[in-house]
Amino acid sequence: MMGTITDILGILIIAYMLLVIVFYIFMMAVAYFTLAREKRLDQDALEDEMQMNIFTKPVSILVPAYNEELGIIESMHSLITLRYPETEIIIIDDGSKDRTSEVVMEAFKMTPSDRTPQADLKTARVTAVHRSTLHPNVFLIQKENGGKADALNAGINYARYPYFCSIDGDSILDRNSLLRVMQPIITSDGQVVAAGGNVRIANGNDIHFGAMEPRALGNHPMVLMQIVEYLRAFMLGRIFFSRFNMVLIVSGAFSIFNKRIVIDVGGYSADVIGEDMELVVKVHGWIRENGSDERIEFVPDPVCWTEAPTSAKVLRRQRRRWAQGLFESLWRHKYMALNPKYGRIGFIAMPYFWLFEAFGALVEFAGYAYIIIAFLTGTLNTEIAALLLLTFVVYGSIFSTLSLMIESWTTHNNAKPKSILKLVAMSLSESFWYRPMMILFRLEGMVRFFTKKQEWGNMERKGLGRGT
Amino acid sequence: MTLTEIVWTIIIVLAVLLALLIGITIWRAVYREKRREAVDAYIEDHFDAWFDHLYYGAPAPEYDRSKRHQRMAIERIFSSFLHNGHSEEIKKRISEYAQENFSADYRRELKSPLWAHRVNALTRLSDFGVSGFTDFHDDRRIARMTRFEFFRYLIYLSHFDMNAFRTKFLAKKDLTEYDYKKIFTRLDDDRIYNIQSLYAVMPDAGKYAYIDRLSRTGNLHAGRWLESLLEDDNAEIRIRTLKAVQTRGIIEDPARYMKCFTSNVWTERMLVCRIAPYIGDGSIEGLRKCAADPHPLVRSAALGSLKYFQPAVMNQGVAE
Repeated sequence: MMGTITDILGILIIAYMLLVIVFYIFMMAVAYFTLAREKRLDQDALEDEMQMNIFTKPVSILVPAYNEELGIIESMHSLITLRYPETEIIIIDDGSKDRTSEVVMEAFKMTPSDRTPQADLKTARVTAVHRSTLHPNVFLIQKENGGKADALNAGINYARYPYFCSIDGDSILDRNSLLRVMQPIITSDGQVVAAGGNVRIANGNDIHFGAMEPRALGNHPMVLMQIVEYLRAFMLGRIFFSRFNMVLIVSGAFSIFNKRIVIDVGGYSADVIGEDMELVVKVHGWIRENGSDERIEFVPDPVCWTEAPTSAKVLRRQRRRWAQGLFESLWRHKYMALNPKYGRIGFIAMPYFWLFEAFGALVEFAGYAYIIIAFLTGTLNTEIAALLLLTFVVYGSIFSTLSLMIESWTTHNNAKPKSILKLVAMSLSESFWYRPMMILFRLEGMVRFFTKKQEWGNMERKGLGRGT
Repeated sequence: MTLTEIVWTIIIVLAVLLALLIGITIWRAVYREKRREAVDAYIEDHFDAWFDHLYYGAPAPEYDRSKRHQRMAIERIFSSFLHNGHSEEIKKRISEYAQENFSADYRRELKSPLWAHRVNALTRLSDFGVSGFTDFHDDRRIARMTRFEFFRYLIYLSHFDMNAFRTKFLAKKDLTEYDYKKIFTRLDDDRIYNIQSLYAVMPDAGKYAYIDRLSRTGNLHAGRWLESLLEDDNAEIRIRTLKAVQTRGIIEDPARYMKCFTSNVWTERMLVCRIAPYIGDGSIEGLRKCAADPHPLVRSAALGSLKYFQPAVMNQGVAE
């Protein structure tokens, strides 16, 4: 009897995994054809034209910073050297306990500014506003600690341009990133109201005055695995969902929003841990409720380089935070799921995120547990366990490897053959160590959601640049 | 077949497929890297010679048509010169060279089933000024074009054949305002007036872009024509017209603007307050009404413009 029940459980998990695999194959095919079409386009010529034209919309770049003294200056240099006609850069020091503000004020020769807010999103108290005498379009807002969402809202209040770009305090943008990520917004006459760019791992690369100089891939398995993981997430999920206007996540590390709409939906929510996803879901809700045809897109080309955690301890904090944030946003907007009013968001995106992203960790955990118990005790059906292991390997390692290959075939990343081989080897090992680790972290995030624990955790930056 | 055998078969098939795909990926990466190195090497070796040819008319370097990377390198050099300098001589030499050496390639690419190839070819034809392709696209081909492809095609036509441009311009109506603005910006003032008769049949996005373009002409006729749009039923047209007038800074007929002060669209009231100094003393009454407007931006614009009329306002006050 017990054996039958566990067999049924094993078969159900296999059925779930097969469903995921079929869906992933479909997503991958869409991603491939979408990217392959644009791959041969001469982007340099088009960008030169965009850079020079007078219709590019000005952007306020918001940089929320908390204890970023190590990486903030390089990040700022990358923003100042961006190829974009008109920007302003607003750093929001969210009550840092280190010397973030001091470092910025010294480096950019800041003086007090009388700039006043243009919107009134509720935030923690702003204590000072400064302006750079070296670069008059660079501002520093100092405020009491309120969290990343709160800091971004403060930045939105002081932003004067119709679009704002949110970027993490330790991230580096490629010179053309802002041009590329704004392209769909500009060419669609503002019908695209938000866009997210591609985020890549920068660990091990050199940075000189804000410009990333890729070096050979390092050998840190945790970092290599995250490179693969980011590629997979962007290649598989974001491109597919963007194609059908179902993007629910644009990376908080690099995203553009229409300021007016964000103010209309109340800005970033300071009471959730995944404020980036929360905002995107709110904007989708706004679009549906207004019956308009605006879109949110993911732009695969533009690149934002970010620092990945190098220790399991920090990675754990990050992933459980992401998982918790996912649950919070999905729960808060559960009214959208299977609701005809929300179209594809309600019938495809929301159910996908609930079934595969949110509860997927639980199902996978049950599957791994089944395999381990089956092989250790020999009491369970070893054939089912073997089939289950195969589906995990396909779902994990194979899809990661395929994502790497699609990325190599369809983008201009110019990765060296040796690097590709290294990443392929890494991704083939994913199902046997990295994925089980991620499952545990995600389950922890799920538990924290249900027990209502709210904290970011210390991200322990090492700072990008000079081969860190 | 037992389940175990099925599993093993799947594993073997997947392993073989994966090995094949990885092999293809590596081969493509190696090929791409070699080509990139070849392009960079060509540019490094021949840039000075191209500089001499384009600036001083020295003989052009040898070009081997069979080597694709050479064409890519030369195109990159040409783009670099076009985007970083301005000289009619350079443009002429680039155009002549591309016409003679690349036309056949572009003709082939325009027929390619790959969308990106066709778009790249259209972009280069426009950038390098290669003539002779205005009749290339028949109606069937145009109907199959994507929006972006059509946009690039119109830009090409606008360079070389205004008659064809006028005919084909409204063949597709799904261009965005941004597309129309990019097209109209490339037309000189004469050509812009040339298509004024098409305004009535343009889609809204085209109309907005046309009004914006007219705002940057100095001709008096443009001002009169713009002011006639203030009678349009479409509020957005009236708003764009006011913005265009603000950019031009020239008022032909002040009487036309008076009713804007009492429009039920707040943006119109705000914009007319902003251009009141150009309208003249006749706008003071309207500004006074708008100074008490329910919308804060209208009030702000009205009070800002009233400052220009302070002596007249004071005199009026004294007279009263």
